[in-house]
Amino acid sequence: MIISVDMTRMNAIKWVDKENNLACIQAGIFGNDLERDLKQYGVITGHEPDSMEFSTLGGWVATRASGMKKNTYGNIEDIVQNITLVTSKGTYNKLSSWPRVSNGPDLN
Amino acid sequence: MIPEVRIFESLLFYDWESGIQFMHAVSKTKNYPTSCRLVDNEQFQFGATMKPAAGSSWEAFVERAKKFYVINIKGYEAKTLTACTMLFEGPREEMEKQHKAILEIGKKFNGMAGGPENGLRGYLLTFLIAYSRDLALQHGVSAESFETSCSW
Repeated sequence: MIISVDMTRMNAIKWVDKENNLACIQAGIFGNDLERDLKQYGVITGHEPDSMEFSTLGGWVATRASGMKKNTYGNIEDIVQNITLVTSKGTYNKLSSWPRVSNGPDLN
Repeated sequence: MIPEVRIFESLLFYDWESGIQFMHAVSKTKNYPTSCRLVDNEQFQFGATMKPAAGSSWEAFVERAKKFYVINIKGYEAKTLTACTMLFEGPREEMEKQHKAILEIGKKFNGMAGGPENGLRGYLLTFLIAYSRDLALQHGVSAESFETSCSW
C-alpha cells in the first residue's frame, strides 16, 4: 500500500538560530515562500532549483535536489543538518543538532 | 546571511566546444562562480525568442557578438553560438575579484562578455523550462526535463 500525504500545510519556519547558522523549517514549505520568509530574518538557504516555485523543502530532501547556486551553498544534502523522517516502521532523526557525529550512517 | 552583492555576467562563445573548454578551465580553478551555466545553441535561440520586447538589450548583444566574431574569429555562426550565464554571490570585494578572474579565463577561449543584464536573463531562462512544459501540455505534448551528469 502506498500512502501519499499532502504536507503543504506544514509550511512554517519554526525558528532561526543565527548564532549557529541553523533554522528549523517544516517540510511542506514551497521554495519561494521559504526564501521570502527567511529574508525577514536576514538569512537565505542559497538553494535554488529550477522548480523553486513549485517544489518544497521536503521534496528537495527526498529527491536529493541540486540548485543553480550549489557552487557556493552546496546541494541539499550539504545544507540539511537534521531531518525528522516518519515512516511506517518508525521515526528517524538525529538526537541533536551537533554539526557532526562520526558513527553510523548519515541519512542527512 | 544575505549576500552583499549579486553580480550577473554572461559570456558568448563561438561554439559549444569552446564553451566546454572554458567550463573545464573554470573547474580547474576551484574558484567557481555561484552559478555557471553553459547554454547550448538551441537554448540560446530559445532565449532569443523569449526576449521581452524588440530592440531589447538582447538584440544589441547578439548584434555586438556578430561583429565581434566576424572581426576577431572565423566569422559569426548563428547555428553554433553558445552562451554561458554566471552569477557571483557573496562579499563585494571577493566577488569582484572572482568576476575579473573568470572573465580573464573567458578571453582565453575567445569569450565575449555580454554584461549583467544578459547574464540575468539567461539565468532566469532556466526557470522558464518548467513553464514551457506546461505550455507544451496544453498542446497535447508531454515532455519532462532531466539533468544528467558525466565526467570531463
